Amino acid sequence: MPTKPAKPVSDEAWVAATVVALRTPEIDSWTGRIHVHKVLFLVDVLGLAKPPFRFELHQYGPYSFDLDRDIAMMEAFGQLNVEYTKPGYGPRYQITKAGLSLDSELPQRDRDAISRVVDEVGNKDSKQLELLATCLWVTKRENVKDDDRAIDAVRRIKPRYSDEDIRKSLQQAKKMESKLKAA
Amino acid sequence: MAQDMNHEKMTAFIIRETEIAEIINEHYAAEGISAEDVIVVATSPALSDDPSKNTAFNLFLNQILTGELGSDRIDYLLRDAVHSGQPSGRFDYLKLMNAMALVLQPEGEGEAVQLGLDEGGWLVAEQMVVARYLMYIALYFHKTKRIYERHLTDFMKDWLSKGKLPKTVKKYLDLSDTTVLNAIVDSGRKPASNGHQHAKRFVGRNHLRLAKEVILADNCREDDKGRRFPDGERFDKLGNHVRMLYGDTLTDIPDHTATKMFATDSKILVRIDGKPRYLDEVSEVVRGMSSKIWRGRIYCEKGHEDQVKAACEEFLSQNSSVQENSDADETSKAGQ
Repeated sequence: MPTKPAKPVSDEAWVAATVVALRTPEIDSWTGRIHVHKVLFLVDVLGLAKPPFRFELHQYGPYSFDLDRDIAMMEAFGQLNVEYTKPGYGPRYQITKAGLSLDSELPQRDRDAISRVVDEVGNKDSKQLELLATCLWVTKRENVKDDDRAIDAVRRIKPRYSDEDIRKSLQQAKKMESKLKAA
Repeated sequence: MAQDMNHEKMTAFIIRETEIAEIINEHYAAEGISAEDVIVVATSPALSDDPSKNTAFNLFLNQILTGELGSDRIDYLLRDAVHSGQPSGRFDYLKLMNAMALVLQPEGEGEAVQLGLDEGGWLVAEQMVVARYLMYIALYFHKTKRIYERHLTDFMKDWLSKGKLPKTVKKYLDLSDTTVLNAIVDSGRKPASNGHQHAKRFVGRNHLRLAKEVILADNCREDDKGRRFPDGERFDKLGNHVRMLYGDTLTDIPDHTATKMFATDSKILVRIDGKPRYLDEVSEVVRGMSSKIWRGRIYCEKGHEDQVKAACEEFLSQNSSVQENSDADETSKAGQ
């Protein structure tokens, strides 16, 4: 008997799962644009799952225009709410009832991958996330293994961070990678 | 050349692979400007082969050219309004330019400085967003333009070798408007040629006709804040239903390009009382705009419009949006 082909998972399911994970009461992350982008990038670059978004270096480090578009579509279709909770602060995302059904589209192993990354970085602010993601871009995508060269490479991309901040972030990235890959 | 090229990547590729790079490098080297600088400014910092070109200055020039308030965006709206005779695309661009300012990103969004607007620019930014909305509905999403875009896409898939764009820059650049139009006319006259069934639609002006247009007000759900958004699932079911009944029908909804157009409006920063605020946070007009562009269309062969329209209307009257059904369910449960 031929088996039914698995229902394809929509790109929006990844966004929904990420927002749900970030907004769990225990984490209650800010869940802004940068948080969603960086969590999915970390899942991808650490090889924990394969989100369908193409990441590239942009103003805030690794960024995906496909992901931006999908977030906008979800907002237009009432699957995501944008909340402006404080003047002078950027938006926070929250999943709606319509968006919750997308979360369950994603296979459990991929949702677990997202949750594990969120557990590690969900409480970081956007500046910390930006630096962490850029460090991993340099070490994993540009394959720079030597710490001093990695610091130089990150500084070229993000000149406003100090060498000390970059060094700490590189160490955090290494620890996080070991921990998540061992699990 | 990768087949997943987009507009920006193609531009970067063309700059790099043609005499354009040589000319820039030769004539501007003394001023420290290279082809990679031009790629960062004209396309995206991510597309440069040289990370050292991602300087704050180049990034800022990139914003001026391609950003949410960039010259490219202002230009195409005004130019398209003039050339199409569509007055709704016009807005007070001089006032917009006068209101431009450097605005710090909001808290939690990074610490970059971005091209934004001071307080006086809020209203004219809304004007620009509304102009873009009207141009989208009246021009970019015009029913006849859209269907011919689909026919053109189908023709190109059949006509191009293996349905793919050329792999070399030279062959890609040879695919001019004239080349493609000639190919359509030629193919339209020769039944045995590739793409003939699509090309003859152009030659005979026999495009699929609009049978039914569904607007947001007639196909919407509400979230818990009372905001309306399109019922995509219901419209998909409608499309499948008429396709089963009538075969060669086609559905069309604003696609990702439309949403991308409006998504960027939400990233326009305005300085209000010294604080950076996003335009869609402070403007009710902009806030509601993204879903308002929604139009669902069903196209069919010429001569079948009335039947297909009747089938659509019957389906829609028998299959209400989920929100209405939920309200009915809640009411009946309460009565038990």
